[in-house]
Amino acid sequence: MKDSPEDLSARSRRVTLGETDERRLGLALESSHESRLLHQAGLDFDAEDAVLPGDEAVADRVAKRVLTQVRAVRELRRSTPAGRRRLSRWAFAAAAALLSAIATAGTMIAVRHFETKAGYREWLEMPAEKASVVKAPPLKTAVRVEPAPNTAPSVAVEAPVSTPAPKSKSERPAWAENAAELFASASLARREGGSAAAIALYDSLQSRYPNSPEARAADLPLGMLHLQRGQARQALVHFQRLRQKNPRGQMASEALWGEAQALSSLGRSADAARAYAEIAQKYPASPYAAAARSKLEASRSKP
Amino acid sequence: MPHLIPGSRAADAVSGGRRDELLGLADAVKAGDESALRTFLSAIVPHQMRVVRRVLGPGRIDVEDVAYEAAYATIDGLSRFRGEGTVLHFACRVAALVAMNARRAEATKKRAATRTEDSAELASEAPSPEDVAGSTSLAPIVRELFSSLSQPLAEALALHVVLGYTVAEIAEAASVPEETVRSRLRLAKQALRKRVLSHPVLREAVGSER
Repeated sequence: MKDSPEDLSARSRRVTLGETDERRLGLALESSHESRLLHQAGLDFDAEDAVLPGDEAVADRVAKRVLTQVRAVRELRRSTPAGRRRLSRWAFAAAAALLSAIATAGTMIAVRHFETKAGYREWLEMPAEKASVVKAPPLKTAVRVEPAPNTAPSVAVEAPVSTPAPKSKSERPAWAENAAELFASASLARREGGSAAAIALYDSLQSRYPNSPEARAADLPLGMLHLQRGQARQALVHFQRLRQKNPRGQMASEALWGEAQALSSLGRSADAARAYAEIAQKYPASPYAAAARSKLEASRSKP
Repeated sequence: MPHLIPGSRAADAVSGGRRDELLGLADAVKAGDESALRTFLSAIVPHQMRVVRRVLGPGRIDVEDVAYEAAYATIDGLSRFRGEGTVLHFACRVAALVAMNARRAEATKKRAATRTEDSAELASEAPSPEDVAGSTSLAPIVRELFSSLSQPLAEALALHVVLGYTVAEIAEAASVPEETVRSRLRLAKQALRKRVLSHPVLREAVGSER
Protein backbone atom coordinates (compact mmCIF):
# COMPACT_ATOMS: atom_id res chain seq x y z
CA MET A 1 0.00 0.00 0.00
CA LYS A 2 1.10 3.54 -0.69
CA ASP A 3 2.68 5.27 2.28
CA SER A 4 0.47 7.80 4.02
CA PRO A 5 1.78 11.28 4.83
CA GLU A 6 2.09 10.12 8.46
CA ASP A 7 4.32 7.22 7.41
CA LEU A 8 6.47 9.46 5.26
CA SER A 9 6.64 11.98 8.08
CA ALA A 10 7.72 9.34 10.61
CA ARG A 11 10.40 8.02 8.28
CA SER A 12 11.56 11.51 7.46
CA ARG A 13 12.02 12.19 11.18
CA ARG A 14 14.16 9.05 11.33
CA VAL A 15 16.17 10.32 8.36
CA THR A 16 15.43 7.17 6.43
CA LEU A 17 13.61 8.68 3.46
CA GLY A 18 15.12 8.59 0.03
CA GLU A 19 15.02 11.59 -2.28
CA THR A 20 11.92 10.41 -4.07
CA ASP A 21 10.02 9.87 -0.86
CA GLU A 22 11.19 13.20 0.49
CA ARG A 23 9.68 14.83 -2.57
CA ARG A 24 6.49 12.87 -2.04
CA LEU A 25 6.39 14.02 1.54
CA GLY A 26 6.93 17.60 0.44
CA LEU A 27 4.03 17.34 -1.99
CA ALA A 28 1.81 15.70 0.60
CA LEU A 29 2.56 18.41 3.13
CA GLU A 30 1.98 21.14 0.56
CA SER A 31 -1.42 19.79 -0.26
CA SER A 32 -2.61 19.25 3.29
CA HIS A 33 -2.44 21.85 6.00
CA GLU A 34 -3.39 19.28 8.63
CA SER A 35 -0.63 16.90 7.60
CA ARG A 36 1.81 19.76 7.63
CA LEU A 37 0.80 20.66 11.17
CA LEU A 38 1.16 17.10 12.37
CA HIS A 39 4.57 16.78 10.75
CA GLN A 40 5.66 20.09 12.25
CA ALA A 41 4.40 18.96 15.67
CA GLY A 42 6.59 15.88 15.42
CA LEU A 43 9.59 18.00 14.49
CA ASP A 44 8.87 20.32 17.41
CA PHE A 45 8.88 17.38 19.81
CA ASP A 46 12.09 16.10 18.26
CA ALA A 47 13.69 19.49 18.74
CA GLU A 48 12.95 19.70 22.43
CA ASP A 49 15.88 19.06 24.66
CA ALA A 50 14.84 15.96 26.53
CA VAL A 51 17.98 15.51 28.60
CA LEU A 52 18.72 17.76 31.54
CA PRO A 53 21.58 18.00 33.99
CA GLY A 54 20.86 15.78 36.93
CA ASP A 55 18.92 13.23 34.90
CA GLU A 56 21.42 10.54 35.74
CA ALA A 57 20.81 10.93 39.46
CA VAL A 58 17.05 10.99 38.94
CA ALA A 59 17.24 7.82 36.85
CA ASP A 60 19.22 6.16 39.63
CA ARG A 61 16.58 7.09 42.14
CA VAL A 62 13.78 5.84 39.93
CA ALA A 63 15.60 2.52 39.50
CA LYS A 64 16.10 2.23 43.25
CA ARG A 65 12.44 2.93 43.94
CA VAL A 66 11.33 0.28 41.51
CA LEU A 67 13.80 -2.20 42.98
CA THR A 68 12.50 -1.44 46.44
CA GLN A 69 8.92 -1.95 45.41
CA VAL A 70 9.61 -5.15 43.51
CA ARG A 71 11.51 -6.54 46.49
CA ALA A 72 8.72 -5.63 48.87
CA VAL A 73 6.09 -7.27 46.72
CA ARG A 74 8.20 -10.41 46.39
CA GLU A 75 8.83 -10.42 50.12
CA LEU A 76 5.14 -10.07 50.75
CA ARG A 77 4.51 -13.05 48.51
CA ARG A 78 7.01 -15.16 50.40
CA SER A 79 5.97 -14.11 53.88
CA THR A 80 2.22 -14.34 53.55
CA PRO A 81 1.24 -17.26 55.80
CA ALA A 82 -1.00 -19.08 53.42
CA GLY A 83 1.24 -18.47 50.49
CA ARG A 84 0.43 -16.93 47.18
CA ARG A 85 -3.13 -18.20 47.22
CA ARG A 86 -4.02 -15.88 50.02
CA LEU A 87 -2.04 -12.95 48.76
CA SER A 88 -5.00 -10.87 47.84
CA ARG A 89 -5.02 -7.86 45.65
CA TRP A 90 -5.63 -5.55 48.54
CA ALA A 91 -2.40 -6.67 50.17
CA PHE A 92 -0.47 -5.73 47.05
CA ALA A 93 -2.35 -2.50 46.83
CA ALA A 94 -1.60 -1.69 50.45
CA ALA A 95 2.08 -2.47 49.98
CA ALA A 96 2.16 -0.41 46.83
CA ALA A 97 0.44 2.49 48.54
CA LEU A 98 2.79 2.36 51.49
CA LEU A 99 5.84 2.17 49.30
CA SER A 100 4.47 4.84 47.08
CA ALA A 101 4.11 7.10 50.10
CA ILE A 102 7.68 6.42 51.09
CA ALA A 103 8.86 6.81 47.55
CA THR A 104 6.94 10.01 47.08
CA ALA A 105 8.84 11.37 50.01
CA GLY A 106 11.95 10.80 48.01
CA THR A 107 10.70 12.78 45.09
CA MET A 108 8.67 15.67 46.35
CA ILE A 109 10.59 18.85 46.14
CA ALA A 110 11.39 19.21 49.78
CA VAL A 111 12.21 15.64 50.53
CA ARG A 112 13.78 14.97 47.21
CA HIS A 113 16.50 17.48 47.53
CA PHE A 114 17.42 17.40 51.06
CA GLU A 115 18.72 14.87 53.38
CA THR A 116 19.53 17.53 55.90
CA LYS A 117 18.03 20.75 57.11
CA ALA A 118 20.91 22.55 55.50
CA GLY A 119 19.91 21.02 52.21
CA TYR A 120 16.46 22.48 52.51
CA ARG A 121 17.79 25.86 53.32
CA GLU A 122 20.11 25.74 50.35
CA TRP A 123 17.21 24.96 48.06
CA LEU A 124 14.82 27.47 49.53
CA GLU A 125 17.35 30.23 49.30
CA MET A 126 18.78 29.32 45.95
CA PRO A 127 18.37 32.30 43.62
CA ALA A 128 15.60 31.61 41.15
CA GLU A 129 17.71 32.56 38.19
CA LYS A 130 20.08 29.71 38.97
CA ALA A 131 17.57 27.10 38.11
CA SER A 132 14.45 27.45 36.07
CA VAL A 133 14.03 23.70 36.23
CA VAL A 134 14.12 21.98 39.59
CA LYS A 135 17.24 19.94 39.65
CA ALA A 136 18.00 17.28 42.15
CA PRO A 137 21.46 17.10 43.58
CA PRO A 138 22.98 13.66 43.55
CA LEU A 139 22.00 11.68 46.59
CA LYS A 140 24.76 10.79 48.97
CA THR A 141 23.38 7.31 49.18
CA ALA A 142 22.70 6.93 45.50
CA VAL A 143 23.88 3.70 44.02
CA ARG A 144 25.41 3.70 40.62
CA VAL A 145 23.63 1.08 38.62
CA GLU A 146 25.82 -0.76 36.22
CA PRO A 147 25.54 0.29 32.60
CA ALA A 148 23.63 -2.14 30.48
CA PRO A 149 25.79 -4.86 29.05
CA ASN A 150 24.49 -7.68 26.95
CA THR A 151 24.31 -10.00 29.87
CA ALA A 152 23.33 -9.42 33.44
CA PRO A 153 26.37 -8.74 35.59
CA SER A 154 26.49 -9.29 39.28
CA VAL A 155 26.14 -5.99 41.05
CA ALA A 156 28.31 -5.69 44.08
CA VAL A 157 26.82 -2.59 45.58
CA GLU A 158 23.71 -3.12 47.63
CA ALA A 159 20.97 -0.60 47.09
CA PRO A 160 19.35 0.81 50.19
CA VAL A 161 15.89 -0.52 50.76
CA SER A 162 14.14 2.70 51.54
CA THR A 163 14.35 6.30 50.51
CA PRO A 164 17.62 8.11 51.14
CA ALA A 165 18.72 8.14 54.73
CA PRO A 166 21.01 10.65 56.36
CA LYS A 167 24.62 9.69 56.68
CA SER A 168 24.45 9.90 60.42
CA LYS A 169 21.84 10.74 62.99
CA SER A 170 23.77 13.73 64.13
CA GLU A 171 23.28 15.38 60.76
CA ARG A 172 19.54 15.44 61.04
CA PRO A 173 17.47 16.57 64.01
CA ALA A 174 15.05 14.10 65.54
CA TRP A 175 11.95 15.97 64.44
CA ALA A 176 13.03 15.89 60.85
CA GLU A 177 11.80 12.39 60.18
CA ASN A 178 8.31 13.22 61.35
CA ALA A 179 8.18 16.49 59.46
CA ALA A 180 9.42 14.71 56.36
CA GLU A 181 6.86 11.97 56.81
CA LEU A 182 4.06 14.49 57.19
CA PHE A 183 5.25 16.33 54.13
CA ALA A 184 5.37 13.08 52.19
CA SER A 185 1.88 12.09 53.31
CA ALA A 186 0.51 15.49 52.38
CA SER A 187 2.20 15.34 49.01
CA LEU A 188 0.78 11.91 48.36
CA ALA A 189 -2.70 13.09 49.27
CA ARG A 190 -2.29 16.06 46.96
CA ARG A 191 -1.15 13.89 44.06
CA GLU A 192 -4.08 11.59 44.55
CA GLY A 193 -6.53 14.43 44.42
CA GLY A 194 -7.39 14.64 48.09
CA SER A 195 -6.96 18.36 48.35
CA ALA A 196 -8.79 18.68 51.68
CA ALA A 197 -6.69 15.93 53.24
CA ALA A 198 -3.54 17.42 51.78
CA ILE A 199 -4.35 20.83 53.20
CA ALA A 200 -5.03 19.32 56.62
CA LEU A 201 -1.71 17.48 56.56
CA TYR A 202 0.28 20.49 55.38
CA ASP A 203 -1.44 22.61 58.05
CA SER A 204 -0.60 20.03 60.67
CA LEU A 205 3.00 20.02 59.51
CA GLN A 206 3.21 23.80 59.79
CA SER A 207 1.67 23.89 63.24
CA ARG A 208 3.64 20.97 64.67
CA TYR A 209 7.00 21.73 63.13
CA PRO A 210 6.82 25.44 62.33
CA ASN A 211 10.58 25.83 62.08
CA SER A 212 11.21 22.83 59.91
CA PRO A 213 12.28 23.33 56.31
CA GLU A 214 9.35 21.12 55.31
CA ALA A 215 6.94 23.58 56.90
CA ARG A 216 8.45 26.40 54.91
CA ALA A 217 8.33 24.42 51.70
CA ALA A 218 4.66 23.60 52.35
CA ASP A 219 3.56 27.16 51.65
CA LEU A 220 3.74 26.67 47.91
CA PRO A 221 1.56 23.54 47.66
CA LEU A 222 -0.79 25.03 50.26
CA GLY A 223 -1.17 28.17 48.18
CA MET A 224 -1.79 26.14 45.05
CA LEU A 225 -4.33 23.92 46.75
CA HIS A 226 -6.28 26.83 48.17
CA LEU A 227 -6.21 28.50 44.79
CA GLN A 228 -7.57 25.39 43.11
CA ARG A 229 -10.36 25.29 45.66
CA GLY A 230 -11.28 28.89 45.01
CA GLN A 231 -9.96 30.04 48.38
CA ALA A 232 -7.94 32.91 47.04
CA ARG A 233 -7.57 34.74 50.31
CA GLN A 234 -5.90 31.81 52.05
CA ALA A 235 -3.82 31.13 48.96
CA LEU A 236 -2.55 34.68 49.00
CA VAL A 237 -1.35 34.37 52.59
CA HIS A 238 0.76 31.31 51.74
CA PHE A 239 2.25 32.72 48.55
CA GLN A 240 3.15 35.99 50.25
CA ARG A 241 4.66 34.22 53.23
CA LEU A 242 6.81 32.06 51.01
CA ARG A 243 8.09 35.10 49.18
CA GLN A 244 8.71 37.06 52.35
CA LYS A 245 10.75 34.26 53.83
CA ASN A 246 12.67 33.49 50.65
CA PRO A 247 12.56 36.51 48.37
CA ARG A 248 15.38 35.12 46.26
CA GLY A 249 14.44 31.47 46.60
CA GLN A 250 14.04 29.10 43.74
CA MET A 251 10.29 29.08 44.10
CA ALA A 252 9.94 32.85 44.29
CA SER A 253 8.68 33.17 40.73
CA GLU A 254 6.11 30.43 41.27
CA ALA A 255 4.98 32.10 44.47
CA LEU A 256 4.67 35.45 42.74
CA TRP A 257 2.68 33.89 39.91
CA GLY A 258 0.36 32.32 42.46
CA GLU A 259 0.09 35.63 44.28
CA ALA A 260 -0.91 37.39 41.07
CA GLN A 261 -3.57 34.80 40.35
CA ALA A 262 -4.93 35.01 43.86
CA LEU A 263 -5.06 38.81 43.66
CA SER A 264 -6.79 38.59 40.33
CA SER A 265 -9.47 36.27 41.65
CA LEU A 266 -9.97 38.56 44.64
CA GLY A 267 -10.76 41.33 42.19
CA ARG A 268 -7.64 43.29 43.06
CA SER A 269 -6.78 43.90 39.43
CA ALA A 270 -4.29 46.69 39.99
CA ASP A 271 -2.32 44.64 42.52
CA ALA A 272 -2.45 41.63 40.22
CA ALA A 273 -1.14 43.73 37.35
CA ARG A 274 1.74 44.92 39.53
CA ALA A 275 2.56 41.32 40.39
CA TYR A 276 2.48 40.28 36.73
CA ALA A 277 4.74 43.20 35.87
CA GLU A 278 7.11 42.16 38.64
CA ILE A 279 7.28 38.63 37.23
CA ALA A 280 8.06 39.92 33.76
CA GLN A 281 10.71 42.23 35.12
CA LYS A 282 12.35 40.07 37.79
CA TYR A 283 12.09 36.68 36.18
CA PRO A 284 12.27 37.26 32.44
CA ALA A 285 13.70 33.78 31.87
CA SER A 286 11.09 31.96 33.89
CA PRO A 287 8.27 30.10 32.18
CA TYR A 288 5.85 32.52 33.83
CA ALA A 289 7.23 35.65 32.22
CA ALA A 290 5.51 35.32 28.86
CA ALA A 291 2.24 34.39 30.53
CA ALA A 292 2.54 37.39 32.81
CA ARG A 293 3.17 39.70 29.87
CA SER A 294 0.13 38.41 28.05
CA LYS A 295 -1.95 38.91 31.19
CA LEU A 296 -0.70 42.48 31.36
CA GLU A 297 -1.50 43.11 27.73
CA ALA A 298 -4.94 41.65 28.17
CA SER A 299 -5.63 43.86 31.16
CA ARG A 300 -4.46 46.95 29.29
CA SER A 301 -6.65 46.19 26.31
CA LYS A 302 -9.73 45.99 28.51
CA PRO A 303 -11.83 49.14 28.33
CA MET B 1 18.63 16.91 11.69
CA PRO B 2 15.92 15.85 14.08
CA HIS B 3 16.73 14.68 17.57
CA LEU B 4 15.55 11.14 17.74
CA ILE B 5 14.40 9.58 20.95
CA PRO B 6 16.80 6.82 21.86
CA GLY B 7 14.77 3.70 22.18
CA SER B 8 12.17 4.76 19.68
CA ARG B 9 11.83 2.95 16.45
CA ALA B 10 13.61 5.88 14.95
CA ALA B 11 16.75 5.22 16.89
CA ASP B 12 16.64 1.55 16.05
CA ALA B 13 16.28 2.28 12.41
CA VAL B 14 19.32 4.49 12.59
CA SER B 15 21.30 1.85 14.42
CA GLY B 16 20.65 -0.63 11.66
CA GLY B 17 18.12 -2.91 13.25
CA ARG B 18 20.46 -4.90 15.45
CA ARG B 19 19.06 -7.70 17.53
CA ASP B 20 17.18 -6.89 20.70
CA GLU B 21 19.82 -6.85 23.39
CA LEU B 22 17.34 -6.42 26.19
CA LEU B 23 15.33 -9.50 25.40
CA GLY B 24 17.56 -11.84 27.40
CA LEU B 25 17.58 -9.44 30.31
CA ALA B 26 13.82 -9.15 30.19
CA ASP B 27 13.52 -12.92 30.41
CA ALA B 28 15.85 -12.95 33.42
CA VAL B 29 13.80 -10.20 35.05
CA LYS B 30 10.64 -12.20 34.53
CA ALA B 31 12.38 -15.16 36.17
CA GLY B 32 13.06 -13.06 39.27
CA ASP B 33 16.78 -12.33 38.80
CA GLU B 34 17.42 -9.18 40.82
CA SER B 35 20.77 -8.27 39.31
CA ALA B 36 19.18 -8.53 35.88
CA LEU B 37 16.44 -6.24 37.12
CA ARG B 38 18.98 -3.62 38.15
CA THR B 39 20.69 -3.75 34.80
CA PHE B 40 17.40 -3.72 32.97
CA LEU B 41 16.26 -0.66 34.87
CA SER B 42 19.52 1.13 34.21
CA ALA B 43 18.95 0.51 30.52
CA ILE B 44 15.34 1.60 30.23
CA VAL B 45 14.79 4.32 32.82
CA PRO B 46 16.83 7.10 31.14
CA HIS B 47 14.87 6.56 27.92
CA GLN B 48 11.59 6.46 29.75
CA MET B 49 12.39 9.70 31.53
CA ARG B 50 12.94 11.45 28.21
CA VAL B 51 9.67 10.15 26.85
CA VAL B 52 7.86 11.17 30.02
CA ARG B 53 9.34 14.65 29.85
CA ARG B 54 8.23 15.02 26.26
CA VAL B 55 4.67 14.10 27.11
CA LEU B 56 4.42 16.09 30.33
CA GLY B 57 6.24 19.12 29.02
CA PRO B 58 9.23 21.05 30.30
CA GLY B 59 9.60 22.25 33.85
CA ARG B 60 7.42 19.60 35.45
CA ILE B 61 8.44 18.44 38.88
CA ASP B 62 6.58 15.15 38.63
CA VAL B 63 8.79 13.68 35.91
CA GLU B 64 10.49 11.44 38.44
CA ASP B 65 7.23 10.14 39.88
CA VAL B 66 5.74 9.44 36.48
CA ALA B 67 8.97 7.82 35.27
CA TYR B 68 8.85 5.63 38.35
CA GLU B 69 5.29 4.61 37.57
CA ALA B 70 6.28 3.90 33.98
CA ALA B 71 9.27 1.80 34.99
CA TYR B 72 7.23 -0.18 37.46
CA ALA B 73 4.44 -0.67 34.92
CA THR B 74 7.03 -1.92 32.44
CA ILE B 75 8.38 -4.52 34.86
CA ASP B 76 4.85 -5.47 35.80
CA GLY B 77 3.85 -5.73 32.16
CA LEU B 78 6.83 -7.73 30.89
CA SER B 79 4.83 -10.91 31.16
CA ARG B 80 2.37 -9.46 28.67
CA PHE B 81 5.05 -8.32 26.24
CA ARG B 82 4.30 -10.14 23.02
CA GLY B 83 7.51 -9.37 21.20
CA GLU B 84 6.03 -6.65 19.04
CA GLY B 85 8.99 -4.36 18.43
CA THR B 86 11.92 -4.41 20.81
CA VAL B 87 11.79 -4.40 24.58
CA LEU B 88 12.94 -0.79 24.54
CA HIS B 89 10.07 0.11 22.19
CA PHE B 90 7.76 -1.51 24.67
CA ALA B 91 9.26 0.41 27.59
CA CYS B 92 9.06 3.73 25.73
CA ARG B 93 5.50 3.05 24.70
CA VAL B 94 4.55 2.26 28.28
CA ALA B 95 6.24 5.49 29.39
CA ALA B 96 4.36 7.53 26.79
CA LEU B 97 1.03 6.04 27.80
CA VAL B 98 1.65 6.35 31.54
CA ALA B 99 2.67 9.98 31.12
CA MET B 100 -0.29 10.67 28.89
CA ASN B 101 -2.61 9.15 31.47
CA ALA B 102 -1.01 11.29 34.16
CA ARG B 103 -1.80 14.37 32.10
CA ARG B 104 -5.33 13.18 31.49
CA ALA B 105 -5.91 12.45 35.18
CA GLU B 106 -4.64 15.89 36.07
CA ALA B 107 -6.93 17.52 33.52
CA THR B 108 -9.91 15.54 34.81
CA LYS B 109 -9.21 16.69 38.36
CA LYS B 110 -8.97 20.28 37.21
CA ARG B 111 -12.28 20.03 35.41
CA ALA B 112 -13.92 18.43 38.45
CA ALA B 113 -12.55 21.14 40.73
CA THR B 114 -13.88 23.75 38.36
CA ARG B 115 -17.35 22.26 38.50
CA THR B 116 -17.48 21.73 42.25
CA GLU B 117 -15.87 24.96 43.29
CA ASP B 118 -17.54 27.06 40.66
CA SER B 119 -14.23 28.67 39.95
CA ALA B 120 -14.23 28.47 36.22
CA GLU B 121 -12.13 31.52 36.01
CA LEU B 122 -9.44 29.99 38.16
CA ALA B 123 -9.25 26.88 36.08
CA SER B 124 -9.27 28.65 32.78
CA GLU B 125 -6.89 31.26 34.02
CA ALA B 126 -4.37 28.82 35.33
CA PRO B 127 -2.72 27.86 32.09
CA SER B 128 0.53 26.11 32.04
CA PRO B 129 2.85 29.00 31.28
CA GLU B 130 4.39 27.14 28.36
CA ASP B 131 0.99 27.15 26.70
CA VAL B 132 0.87 30.88 26.52
CA ALA B 133 4.52 31.63 26.32
CA GLY B 134 4.23 32.98 22.80
CA SER B 135 6.28 30.09 21.48
CA THR B 136 5.62 28.95 17.96
CA SER B 137 6.19 25.33 18.89
CA LEU B 138 3.21 23.09 18.41
CA ALA B 139 4.28 20.80 21.24
CA PRO B 140 2.28 22.57 23.99
CA ILE B 141 -0.88 22.46 21.87
CA VAL B 142 -0.38 18.77 21.20
CA ARG B 143 0.10 18.15 24.92
CA GLU B 144 -3.23 19.82 25.54
CA LEU B 145 -4.75 17.44 23.05
CA PHE B 146 -3.33 14.48 24.96
CA SER B 147 -5.60 15.56 27.79
CA SER B 148 -8.66 16.57 25.85
CA LEU B 149 -8.98 14.02 23.04
CA SER B 150 -10.54 10.63 23.63
CA GLN B 151 -8.10 7.99 24.84
CA PRO B 152 -7.70 6.13 21.51
CA LEU B 153 -7.13 9.34 19.56
CA ALA B 154 -4.72 10.70 22.15
CA GLU B 155 -2.81 7.44 22.17
CA ALA B 156 -2.45 7.37 18.39
CA LEU B 157 -1.36 11.00 18.41
CA ALA B 158 1.18 10.44 21.18
CA LEU B 159 2.73 7.40 19.55
CA HIS B 160 3.06 9.27 16.27
CA VAL B 161 4.33 12.66 17.37
CA VAL B 162 6.26 11.71 20.51
CA LEU B 163 7.72 8.37 19.49
CA GLY B 164 7.59 8.78 15.73
CA TYR B 165 5.58 5.64 15.03
CA THR B 166 4.19 4.93 11.58
CA VAL B 167 0.58 3.94 11.05
CA ALA B 168 1.48 0.25 10.91
CA GLU B 169 3.50 0.47 14.10
CA ILE B 170 0.69 2.20 15.97
CA ALA B 171 -1.75 -0.41 14.70
CA GLU B 172 0.52 -3.19 15.93
CA ALA B 173 1.02 -1.56 19.33
CA ALA B 174 -2.67 -0.85 19.84
CA SER B 175 -3.85 -4.11 18.26
CA VAL B 176 -6.22 -2.38 15.90
CA PRO B 177 -6.46 -2.30 12.09
CA GLU B 178 -4.35 0.23 10.24
CA GLU B 179 -7.46 1.85 8.82
CA THR B 180 -8.62 2.55 12.37
CA VAL B 181 -5.31 4.24 13.13
CA ARG B 182 -5.58 6.37 9.99
CA SER B 183 -9.02 7.42 11.04
CA ARG B 184 -7.83 8.29 14.54
CA LEU B 185 -4.91 10.29 13.24
CA ARG B 186 -7.20 12.11 10.83
CA LEU B 187 -9.45 13.18 13.70
CA ALA B 188 -6.45 14.14 15.80
CA LYS B 189 -5.10 16.23 12.95
CA GLN B 190 -8.42 18.02 12.63
CA ALA B 191 -8.40 18.76 16.34
CA LEU B 192 -4.84 20.04 16.10
CA ARG B 193 -5.72 22.33 13.22
CA LYS B 194 -8.70 23.67 15.10
CA ARG B 195 -6.53 24.45 18.11
CA VAL B 196 -3.89 26.13 16.01
CA LEU B 197 -6.44 28.29 14.24
CA SER B 198 -7.73 29.50 17.58
CA HIS B 199 -4.25 30.47 18.71
CA PRO B 200 -3.23 33.84 17.26
CA VAL B 201 0.52 33.44 17.53
CA LEU B 202 0.59 29.94 16.10
CA ARG B 203 -1.94 30.73 13.41
CA GLU B 204 0.35 33.39 12.10
CA ALA B 205 3.50 31.31 12.52
CA VAL B 206 2.32 28.20 10.73
CA GLY B 207 0.17 29.96 8.17
CA SER B 208 -3.58 30.00 8.32
CA GLU B 209 -5.08 28.03 5.51
CA ARG B 210 -8.71 27.47 6.13
